[in-house]
Parts: sequence; C-alpha cells; structure tokens
Amino acid sequence: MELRLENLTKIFTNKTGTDTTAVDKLDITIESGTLVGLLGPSGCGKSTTLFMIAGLIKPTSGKIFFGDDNVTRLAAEKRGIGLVFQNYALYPHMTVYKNILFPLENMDVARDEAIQRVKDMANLVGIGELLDRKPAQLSGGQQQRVAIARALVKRPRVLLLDEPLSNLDARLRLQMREEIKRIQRETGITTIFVTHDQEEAMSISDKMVVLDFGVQQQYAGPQEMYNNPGNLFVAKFLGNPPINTLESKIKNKYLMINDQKFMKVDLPDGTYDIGMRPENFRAASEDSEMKIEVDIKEIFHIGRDTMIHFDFNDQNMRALVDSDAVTADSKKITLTIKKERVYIFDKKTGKVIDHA
Amino acid sequence: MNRQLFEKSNKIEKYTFISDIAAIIAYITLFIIFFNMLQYPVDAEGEIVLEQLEFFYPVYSFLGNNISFAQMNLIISIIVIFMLVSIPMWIINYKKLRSRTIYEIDSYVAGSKFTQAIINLLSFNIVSFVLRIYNTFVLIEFVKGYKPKEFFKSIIPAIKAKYKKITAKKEKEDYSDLDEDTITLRKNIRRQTTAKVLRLFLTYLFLVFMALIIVVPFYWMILTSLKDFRGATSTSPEFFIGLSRMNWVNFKVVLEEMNFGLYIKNTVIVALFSTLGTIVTTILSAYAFARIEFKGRELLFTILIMTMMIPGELYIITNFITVSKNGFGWVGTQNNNYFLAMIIPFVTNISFIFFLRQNFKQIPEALYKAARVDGCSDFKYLTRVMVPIASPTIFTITILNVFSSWNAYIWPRIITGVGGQEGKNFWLISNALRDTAFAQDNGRVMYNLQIAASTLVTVPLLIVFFLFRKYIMNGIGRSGTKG
Repeated sequence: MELRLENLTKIFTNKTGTDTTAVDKLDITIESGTLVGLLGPSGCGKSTTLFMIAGLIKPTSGKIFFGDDNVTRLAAEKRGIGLVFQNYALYPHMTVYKNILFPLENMDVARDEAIQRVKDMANLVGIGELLDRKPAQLSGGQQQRVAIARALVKRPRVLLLDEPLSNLDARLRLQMREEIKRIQRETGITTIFVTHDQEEAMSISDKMVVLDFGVQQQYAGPQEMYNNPGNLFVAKFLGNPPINTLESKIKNKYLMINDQKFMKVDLPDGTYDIGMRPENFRAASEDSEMKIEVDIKEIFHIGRDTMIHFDFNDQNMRALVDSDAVTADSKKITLTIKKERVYIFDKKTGKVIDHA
Repeated sequence: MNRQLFEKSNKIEKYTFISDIAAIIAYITLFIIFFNMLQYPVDAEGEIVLEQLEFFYPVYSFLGNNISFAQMNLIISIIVIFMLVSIPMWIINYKKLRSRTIYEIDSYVAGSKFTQAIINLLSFNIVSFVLRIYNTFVLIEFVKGYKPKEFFKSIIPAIKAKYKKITAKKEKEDYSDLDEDTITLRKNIRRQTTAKVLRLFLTYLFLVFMALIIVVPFYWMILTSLKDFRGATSTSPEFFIGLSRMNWVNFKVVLEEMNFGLYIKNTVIVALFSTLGTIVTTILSAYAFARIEFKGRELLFTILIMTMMIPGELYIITNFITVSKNGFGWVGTQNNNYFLAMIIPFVTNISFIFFLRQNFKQIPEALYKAARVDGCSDFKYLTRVMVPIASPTIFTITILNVFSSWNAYIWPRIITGVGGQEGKNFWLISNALRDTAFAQDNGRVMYNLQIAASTLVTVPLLIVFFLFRKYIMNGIGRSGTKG
C-alpha cells in the first residue's frame, strides 16, 4: 500500500488565539512495503503527523492517500491502520488473548477465524505462551510485542509505530529493533516508525524523513542521508559524536582554515558554514592531498579510537583518529579529510552546496 | 517427594473444606430447629401477650428429653457461637485455598492448622478435627522433614531449649573496657528504643480506646437485645450476661409482632432500583464529564458541584412538590405510587458522579485512542474498557448507595405519611422500627424488643460491611466526606 501525504498541514490554536504550526506542508510518498522512520527533535511534529495518518487528529489542510483512496476525511477505525503507542496502551483488565482479539471483535470477524488469527499473530511476535496473562504480569518487551500483535492482527494497510522503543532498556531496545524489522519484513506492511533516536531510525528504516518545526528537511535512505545531508540541520542532527561546524571564508577559490589554503573549491568568495564529521578525519600520510597541522588541545582515549580536540578558525573541533596516530604526550598532528566529506552550506538558507 | 506432600496436604484441605460446609449447614439447621421450638405467651386469639413475656418459663421437650428455659437459651447461644466461629474461619480458608502456593507453607501454617483443629474439636466438628490434625502432621513433614514420631521426640528438647533461653540470666554489661563514645552510643540506642516502645504503646492504647468507642454501642445493642425486660431496664445494668440468660425468644417475638418481611421487601425494592438508577446515571454523566468535549462542560460541572453545598434537607420541600399532586402526582392523589416517589428523586448523586469522574480521568487517554483505532465506538469503549477498569469504584458506589437507601428515614416517612393507613404498607424498615413500639397494654415499652428489632436491621449491614470493608473504606477515603 503506497502512502502519500500531500501538502499536509496542522495548525493548533490555543485559548488565547495564538497559532502553532505543528506540521507544515508535508509532501511525502512512501512506497509500498517500506519501513520509513520519522525522525526529529522533540516537538517537531512527528507524532502529530502520525496521528493525522491514523485519523486521530484532523489535518488543517492537505490530503492523505492510501494507494488511490483519499482517506483524509475517513474515521480512524475505517482506515485500516494498526497503531502502536509509546506506552503500548494495552487494556489492563483484559488478558493478552483478549487484548489481541479486541479489534477483531469490533470488526465482526467470525469466531473460529478470529481465534486462529490471534494465535498466529501471537506466535509471529513470539508471545504464544503468554496468552492468558494480564498486561501487568508481562515485562516491557512482552507488552511491546502484545501491542504490535494487536496492531497487526486486523491486517492493517499501514502500521504506525509511535516511539515504540522509548520505554525499554538499552539491550531490549536493540533486540526489539531487530524484531520489528523482522516482523515488518515477514508481513510486508508499509510501516511508519516515529522516533527521536537517530541511531534507532538509521538502523531500522529503509528510508527516513527528518522533520524540524513541522517542516520536512530531507527524505532519503539512512546512509544516503548521513553521507549527503541536504542541509545544515540534517547534518547536525545525524551522527554521534555530532558533526563539527565552523564558519569559514572562501578566498580566490580556496577554502581558508587557520589562514592556510585548505582545499580548492569552485565557489564564489564569501563566508560559508562548513561541516566535517569527526570520524572522517585521518592522520595524514606523506602523500595526502589536503593536510593541515593542528595543535592538540586535549586527547581522550575511548578504546578503539582516540578523540582529539583542536581549533579551526578559533572554533573547537573534534576528530576521531586511529589510536596509533597519537600518543599521550603528542602536541601536534597533521590531519587530512576526503574532499567529498567536507560539507559546505549556504550561510543564509543552510542548504548544502555541491562543490565536488 | 516434597511436591507430593504438598499435593496431599491440598487434597486433605479440600476434604476439610467440605466437612466444614457440612458442619456449618448442621449448625444452621440446628439453630432453625431450636429457634422454631421457642414459645411465647399467647392469649386465646393467638396474639402475643407482652405482659407475660418476662414471667414465661416454658419447658421444651426434644427427642424425649425435657429442656428447661435456661438450658434452651444455653443451647441456642452455643450454636450461635459455633456459627460465629466456623463461618469466618471457613471464609478465610476459602480465600487461602484458591491462592496458596508451595512457597507460602512454613511451620506457622502447620501451627495455624493445629489451632483450627482445636477450634473444630471445641465446636464438636470431629471430622474436620481429625482431618486438620492429619494435615498438620503432613505439613510438619513437608516443612521440617519430621515424621510424626520424630516430631513428638523433638518437642521436649525444643521446649527445654526455649526454657533455658528464657531463664538464662542476662549477663550484666561491663562498661569498664569500653571507651567514652561507645558508652554514650549504647546509652542513646537504649534511650531511643525505650522511646519507640513507649510511643508504640501509647499509639495502640489510643487506637484501642477509639475502637472501644465504636464497638461498645454495638456490643450494648446486641447485649440488650438478648436481655429480658428487667435486665434491659435495670438501673444498674450488667455488662455481661451468661449464655443461659440470653433470651433468644426476643427475636422471635419481634419477627412475629412486626411485619418484617413486608418492610424488608419494600426496602429492598427501593434500594435496588435507586441503586440501579444511580449507577446508570453516574456512569453516563461521569463519562461525559471526563471524556466527551462539549461547550460549557466545565460550567455545567461547576454548577453540579455547587449543588453539593446545599444541605439535603432543603431539597425535601421542593422534591415533595415535584412528586405530589401539583407535580407528577405520585402521592396525594387517587393513584398513589409510593415506590416511584421514593425512588426517582434518588436515582442520581452528584458526589458519586464527581468521584467516578475523577476515576475515569485517571484512565490514560492513549487507551481511548487505541480503542478508536481498534474500531470501538464511544459507548462500547465505555462498557468494555472504562467500566471494567473503574469497577472497584463502581462497586464502592453501589455499596454506599445501598447503605444510604437502607438508612433513609425522613423522605420515606414523609411520602408514606401522606397516604395514612394505606401508606403504612409502603413503610421502609427504618420507619417501621421507629413506629412499632412493642408497648404493653399498660403503656410500658419493651425496650429489649425494640433493640432486638434494631439489631435485626443492623446485622445485615454489618455483614456487608465486614465482607466489603476494603471497598467501602476506599470509597469513604477518596470521596472525602461521603459515608
């Protein structure tokens, strides 16, 4: 089921009459059978978008298409969606079995078929033995699986997950992440996954949408987005440790860093925002093309790599280099970076400028 | 091995349970038989002669034996005591039977089995006694691994050890080789312990005193209802009376004199329907105020809350006008419908709405959204999700409402008073209690009979209270003032 959002906008008006634009003219087409991560900082309109797709919030303007059907005005229960909440929202007084059966009951599915579907779904998510327990008797991960089973049992056209992993501990989160990916593959349902955790989104999604203040920043595959961020916000949002950003000038087609000619670029003179990821730095060898010697301010050994702090244009920078490249009492190091890994952003719009 | 013993013990427990039921049924049957044998003085027309009641000492015959009046009272008292002991014991065991797991068994459980066995022996329930003693030994083997013989052998050394421990003189603490700080520390600890013990003692003394204030009137009521007329009106009343001096015939006279069945029936009808109505209106309006968004919701709710500030007595006149011939005409006209007039004004209760609304508000919004996505309508969401989750609260509301219907006096008295003699047939139990005087022909009121009637009315409520006290206290605690 292809999912298409056209010009989707949501404006909340509070009691004093101030408008807040939660979602601003969203245009996304999600291909059938993909898992799309909806990523952004808190308050960026991710959940609002999800609930608009679910039909729990009415959009101010814009349209939502499931395939060729315009579902914008359809009630939630008629859209054929499965929704998993952040806190799972299991019915506390019902057993796991009844929780999963509940949507089928409302759809008037024949009894025998309903029972069969519940059992199949419970086995798919791996809670086949827990059917007669109450939610309070389950662990967080098991509750999560029940919530997914309940969302999937009605064979939805679209599965929506609202920060489903944020209530789990770190190890379980990794496990459930793979589990969700597996279930999505096996069922082939178009899935939208809301999260504020970039690592989670990158590892699970086929494609990602990054939102900021309700505005779509970029829509691409995770690695593509990481390697080629569309603008400064995306570049800053993705990556851990975060990308180094600095202001720098271009003079006579040369990018100037610490008053040295660092890199030849084919751009007009002026001030630009530059982004360089810490992990893209290397200790330079003799034949490196672009290199620069820096004073090391601090060294942090973090196992496999070593993090060094230094200054570019009086702005603090970080680089992850091989542990062999520096010793504890190193004072200076010569660094290099690949040309295509230096991102140049327009100072006004923040958009990336192609310079390769 | 161990598990087998546990299962064996559980099996014995089940048999004990059955024999307990049998014993209880036997006690009740015996009680009914003996209670029916009780006689009271009657005149030629079969009317009870209250004047002679205090001088009436009949001799009964049971299975060919002559039983005097005092012996009869003793027998019934003993049967009642048996019932009072065995029924609660049975209820407690019933709860444990369903929830007991293998980890909860320790020597304490075996000990309590033994105690219960002794109680069974004292109440002539021999079968249960034997089963429980057997179960005790099974449990001892399960917990300690002693066979019965080894167990008896182990008793004497255990007692000796305990005796030694108690009688062993405490060695006097020697402070000479301790430094200053340790001595002050020890003194402080001792002082602190003393203060703690004293505080606990005073707390419990206070609690016991407060409990006595509550318990003594109930005790006095039941005691007086069992005394004879002279005992009840004596200027130096006794605080205890012997089992053989308990006049069980009082209750029989009350049941005979008052039309108890009719009044109970009226009360049950009014309580049932007003409670049903209250539950329905409370659930629906609490849902509306908690979940449904509509204009003026807060204002409407505030107005409702404000009506709670008006004392209930002020409603009486307006309510009366509503139900009388200038309003619906349920009373004071040709076709009187007393039940409608007694029920309809009480099918809603603001404080319950407030109480349940708060409860509904605590149910997370996400559940509502989930239900919407699952294709559940608002009404179905209410009945399938909200009501089951809030069921303890709804149960509390039910009980409190039954209580207040049972205790209602002023309103039913006014309504039935309109109808004169006809209205008397619609009296509730409280009105009947007030108006049945049990007076002798010379005008002396038989107070012991009046109290006996009150006891009969109060005891069902007490039983309900003891069964559901968790819910009731919950409701009173959370609603603040409602009781």
